[in-house]
Amino acid sequence: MTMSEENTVPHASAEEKQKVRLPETKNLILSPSPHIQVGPGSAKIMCQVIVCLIPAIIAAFVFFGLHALRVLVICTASCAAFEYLWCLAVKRKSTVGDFSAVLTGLLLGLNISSLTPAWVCIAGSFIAIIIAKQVYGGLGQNPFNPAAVGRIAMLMGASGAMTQYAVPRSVFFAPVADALTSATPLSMAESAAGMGKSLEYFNSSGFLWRAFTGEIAGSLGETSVLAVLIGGIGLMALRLIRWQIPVSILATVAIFVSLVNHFSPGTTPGVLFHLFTGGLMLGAFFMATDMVTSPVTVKGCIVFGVGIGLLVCVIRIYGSYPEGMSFAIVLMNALVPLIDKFCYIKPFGHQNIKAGRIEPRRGEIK
Amino acid sequence: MNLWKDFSKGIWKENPVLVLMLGMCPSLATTSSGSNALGMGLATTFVLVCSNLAISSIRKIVPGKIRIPCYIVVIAAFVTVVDLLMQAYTGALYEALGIFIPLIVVNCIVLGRAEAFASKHGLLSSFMDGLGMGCGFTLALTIIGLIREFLSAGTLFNVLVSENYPVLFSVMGQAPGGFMVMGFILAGMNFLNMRKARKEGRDFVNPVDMDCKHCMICRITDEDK
Amino acid sequence: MNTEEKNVRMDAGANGNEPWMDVSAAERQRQEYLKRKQEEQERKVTPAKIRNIFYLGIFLFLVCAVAATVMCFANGVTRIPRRQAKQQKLVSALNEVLPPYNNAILKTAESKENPGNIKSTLYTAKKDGKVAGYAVQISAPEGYGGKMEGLISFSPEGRVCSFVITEHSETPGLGSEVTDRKDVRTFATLFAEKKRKPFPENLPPGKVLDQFRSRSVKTAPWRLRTEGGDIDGRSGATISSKAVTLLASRAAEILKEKLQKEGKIK
Repeated sequence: MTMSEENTVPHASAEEKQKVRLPETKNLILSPSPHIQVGPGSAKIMCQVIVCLIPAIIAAFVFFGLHALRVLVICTASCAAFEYLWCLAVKRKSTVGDFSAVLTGLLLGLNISSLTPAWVCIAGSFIAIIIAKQVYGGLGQNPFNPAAVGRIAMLMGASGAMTQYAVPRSVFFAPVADALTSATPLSMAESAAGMGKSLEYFNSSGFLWRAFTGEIAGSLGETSVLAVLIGGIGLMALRLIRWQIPVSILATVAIFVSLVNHFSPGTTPGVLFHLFTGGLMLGAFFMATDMVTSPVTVKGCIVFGVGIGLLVCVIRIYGSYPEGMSFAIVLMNALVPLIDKFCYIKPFGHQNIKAGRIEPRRGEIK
Repeated sequence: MNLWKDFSKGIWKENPVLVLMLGMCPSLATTSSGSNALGMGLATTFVLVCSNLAISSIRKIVPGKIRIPCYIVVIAAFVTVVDLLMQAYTGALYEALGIFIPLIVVNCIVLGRAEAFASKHGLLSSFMDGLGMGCGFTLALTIIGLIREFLSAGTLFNVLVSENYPVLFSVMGQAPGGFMVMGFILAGMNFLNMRKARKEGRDFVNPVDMDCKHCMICRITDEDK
Repeated sequence: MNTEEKNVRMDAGANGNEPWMDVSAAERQRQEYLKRKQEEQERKVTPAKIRNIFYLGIFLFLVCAVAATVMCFANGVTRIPRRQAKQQKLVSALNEVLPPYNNAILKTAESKENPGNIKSTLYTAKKDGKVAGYAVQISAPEGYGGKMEGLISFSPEGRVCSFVITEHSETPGLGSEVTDRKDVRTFATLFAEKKRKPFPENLPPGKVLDQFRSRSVKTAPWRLRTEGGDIDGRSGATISSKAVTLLASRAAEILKEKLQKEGKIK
């Protein structure tokens, strides 16, 4: 009585089956599992990305001293710990060994200031690992980049502590309270533009050189463009990321900023300033290119990158936050399923089937 | 005994916020602090009890086809009158609860209980149901509110827990914090219920017929009286 | 069971021995057919139906009429007590921000429409015929969560005494740190006797709001430090701090105008 319709659909007769030409059986290789895996596993990929982050970590240590190491160690350790504890709580095999939590912790640490209090780091790690990743089902299931989500939560949750940036080389061993703090160049430029002051300083070659090497106030990993670039080129050489994503982000930012500068001069500093400051480089090379949360196809990657670039510029120039890289990444992550849907690759020989009325089956009442 | 059952089911077994998922909007929006949550809960309990009584007493004369508009009119008129009276005669109480009163008219839980319970049961049962559901709502809201208040400001009912308490994660007082706390509480509650069901050797099911999916409000034509 | 329905059943039975046609499919078809039939029936207009609709409409009208009458009655009865309660609230707020006075303060209200569709009201407090202070009630639409409303009091010479935000919808924990004067109590000192400081420090502290104290209206408009002024906003809540500053500046301009008209300041 409860047999479903699918089971009783009339099958093609034996004669009709003969008409369909199947490939020769000996040309088909079919075998049950286990299959040999080709290519790197996730642990190897994560380790390679971590190696590419080493220049940025060294730069952070050079400019921000032991505090940089403190923040990085707290973030990495607490991310790994939360991953382990979650696996323990839900009685799953521990996934700490795939190093994804370590990478998330490192990225989170590189995204925040060297003066961030320890509890803020731990709270951010909790949100990054538990809420942004494990609640969705762990690595590969998360729709948003965990490090970006963690950073946003920290920024909104503890905005006072998160907007204290140390002046580079000002402290090495001294306690946090003694550190000289400064605003980031982006927020300085925004308030200068808001007050109608001249933006000449931000376009001067001396300032831009310091921004390139990393001797400006900011989050640990994002100040030194040089170090991030070295790591990013490494990532591309190892074929770990699609080059389309960072290139389209940077190109969009450059084009948008030069258009703004052309049509309304004085609103914002020049193209190089926007490329060299804030989390743009780190985000473009290391966070937007996360394999789980970026589109599958090349066309999709370009759409994704252009979207991030536009959002970053809009938030930086017109929004109330001075920097918007993590917001842009998370917003575009939310659109990735849509992008994938519209930018899929058509199979060879694909034809559009015209949507027509399906004829009712025999025996049905018309 | 039956009356006690009508009352007590609202607190845990069919808790409106944590099990039936009714009234999500106020339970996320007004729980940024414990005192706000308590105020909203008490105001809702009051309206819920009175509207249950009113609906139960007119349930036999209202034609089935237009019962929903009738209920809405009755509840809205009732809430407006209460609002005006509170404004006029209970200044301090209105200061504390006044902003929540207009929100209650459109609160899903009031209409939900009117339709699912009061329109089918007698006065006394409806009264106990309203009281129980109101208490469960207040309890759930206050717990969420206290957790959020402690995480975001380090206080409980506006009293600082200890001097120089540093961990103030203000995002917990905003909308995302509401969703997070709610999610964790729901997960914890389901976990407890599942474990209990497993110990008793039965399958865990949410109470059907009462949650949003099964509520008859959206299916007016199916059950014309 | 009418003939058409029978035919359907016969039809289903006749095809029943075909492999893809099981009984449940036939049953489903029959139900669909009946449903369609019922819908047709419903679409037909009969006198009984028209009567029913009229009955329902009149019933609903009666319910609404009764509800409206009750609401009108409640509104009429509570009109005067509500107004008194509202005035009482305003008076108690004025008592908090002003030094002791003994005139009927609500009668001194001078309402004014300012540019930007902002209404303001100026109250003059007098003690034994002498001016004891002024209070300006004004709103600022520039808040992060929309409009905020404040009450700011001045000494007779035009110096700020006290400043409270009476209504706002700023973000709790961020913008509300700027607008709210919060009495910090701990569990240790919960039941200890609360000491009230003399005027104008009678209110709980507010970090941004207290910075305006004893500034003269002559120095208005005031600005935040990030905009070249000397008021320290709260970091992370720049928009709320700015709105508060604008509100105070606007109130000061109103009082300045009045004092200049009366020749008390230049």
